Amino acid sequence: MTAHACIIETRALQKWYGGIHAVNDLHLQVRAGEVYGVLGPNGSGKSTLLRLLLGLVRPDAGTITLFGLPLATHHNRILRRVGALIDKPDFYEYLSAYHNLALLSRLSGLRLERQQIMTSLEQAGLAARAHSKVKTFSQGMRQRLGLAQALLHDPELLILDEPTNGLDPQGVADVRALLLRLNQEQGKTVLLSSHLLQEIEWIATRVLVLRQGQTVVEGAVRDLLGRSSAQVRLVVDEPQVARRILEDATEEVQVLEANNGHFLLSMAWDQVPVLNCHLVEAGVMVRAIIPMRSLEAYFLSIT
Amino acid sequence: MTTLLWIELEKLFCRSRSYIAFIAIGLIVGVIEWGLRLEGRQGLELMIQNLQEAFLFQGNLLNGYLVTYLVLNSLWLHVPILIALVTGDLVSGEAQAGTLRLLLTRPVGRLQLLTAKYLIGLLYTALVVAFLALTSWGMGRLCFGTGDLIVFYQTINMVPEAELPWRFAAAFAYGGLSMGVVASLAFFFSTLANHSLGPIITTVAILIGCTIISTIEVGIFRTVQPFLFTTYLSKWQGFFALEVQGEEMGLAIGILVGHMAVLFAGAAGVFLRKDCTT
Repeated sequence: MTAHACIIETRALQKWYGGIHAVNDLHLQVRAGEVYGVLGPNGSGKSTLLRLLLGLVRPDAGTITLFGLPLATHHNRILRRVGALIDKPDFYEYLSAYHNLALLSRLSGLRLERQQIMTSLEQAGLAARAHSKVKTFSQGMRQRLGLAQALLHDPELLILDEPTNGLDPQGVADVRALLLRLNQEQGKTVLLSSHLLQEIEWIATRVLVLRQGQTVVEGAVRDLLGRSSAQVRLVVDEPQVARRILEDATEEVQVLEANNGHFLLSMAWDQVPVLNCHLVEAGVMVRAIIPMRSLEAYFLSIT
Repeated sequence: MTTLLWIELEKLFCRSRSYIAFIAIGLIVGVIEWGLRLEGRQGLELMIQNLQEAFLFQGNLLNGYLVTYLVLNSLWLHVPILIALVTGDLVSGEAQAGTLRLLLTRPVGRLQLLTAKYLIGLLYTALVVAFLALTSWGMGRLCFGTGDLIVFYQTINMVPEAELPWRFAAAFAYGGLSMGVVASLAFFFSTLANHSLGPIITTVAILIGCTIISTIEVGIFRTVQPFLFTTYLSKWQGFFALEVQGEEMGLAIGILVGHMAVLFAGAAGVFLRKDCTT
């Protein structure tokens, strides 16, 4: 697969569940080596899209191509190269974590040594519980086991549905770091859906926002943030001078709150560094510029 | 395919549910044989009281073979429930637990997966029937010894002891086949549902309904009886006729195999189009 080749492509994808149009005329392109985020409110079609890409549900119309091969005719060949975690991670409760992974690796056509499976469990932080039955696991442990099974066969593409669900803050940070490492060091392509906007903002290179199964917006996170109007908290030492500079930039910056050197501003995201320059050039000591959840503000404005 | 079969087999025998049938059969056969040991001889005397006026009975009539025959008669209604408990859960249970999603995101063809599950369902059925045969025959022989078999099938038949091993083997093999239809029915419903209770209850309900239609001799029922699998469930008794009717038994076997083929084709048709939404 050449760099930036299209790994996932859908054309005019449609899926109905009874009278509900779950996915509506969806055109999607995910390039090799990118982290692609799918965002949307509940019921927007995120999970259905991911299930369609894995052949778990059948499209009513349109085509799905992965690695340049049509999913409808090359299902097994494609899935050998894909690791997936869809919805909540369910396992055979009456089997141990080790036994579950051993069984799944055999289903993937692999004959893993005991040590390889144990390494996988160690990476997921579950080595100590390798031989405990999954029914004794917490939600966070299941989620980590879910990620371990998705990575078991060293796939080129990861399709992950809410991969940090149920994890504690440390677990969320670990998963985020793991995904970034897999993407940056091993060149794996990641497609993930999440309701945590911050998560997508931090790790995704491109994002698709869905509403009622349709694309609302799609593009590079940087571009979307540049387009969006962000809220910025500004802390300075010279409030009067700063106020004058802010008022001079009337059209680009709106002062929402001002209190003794603390300002809350609404402004275009890409104007934040420009404002910083103006303040510094005017001799204002800028103590802090804190962006206030920019993608969330943008997301809420378009959905 | 071999890997899939081994995996399905492993999963089947790692579940406690799979052992319910074996435990239940062991208990039921034990209770029946204990009851017969206590009062079986009086019961048998009562049954052949009138016949003793015309015939002279010699030897051990209440023997292990008769006990096995009685166990067979009494258990064919209960064994299907035990089989449906497992085969009705093979697909729907995985859908309910969410593990079907896990399986279908692996490079495994749906038809392959379904075939493996179906074959394991049939193997399980065969094991349950074999266990029934071994426990009833083994315990019967141990507690009641051996002898000729007296059976009431169309007429009074005295089957010599020497013929009994092959006749019982054929009867149990036929019984296994008829239970295979029950397993196929439960398996078919299992592909339709996302919860395992539905297929099990539906299978048992159909079994009861069809058995009633198969046994009541009413005009309208008579026309459908040849097409119902339940009409052929008790045909294993044909192996204890003085002359086994080869053609009749062959037809019955053909109809049962036909039912299994149609039910598996139906299951495949459903499963290949099934949206995995659980």
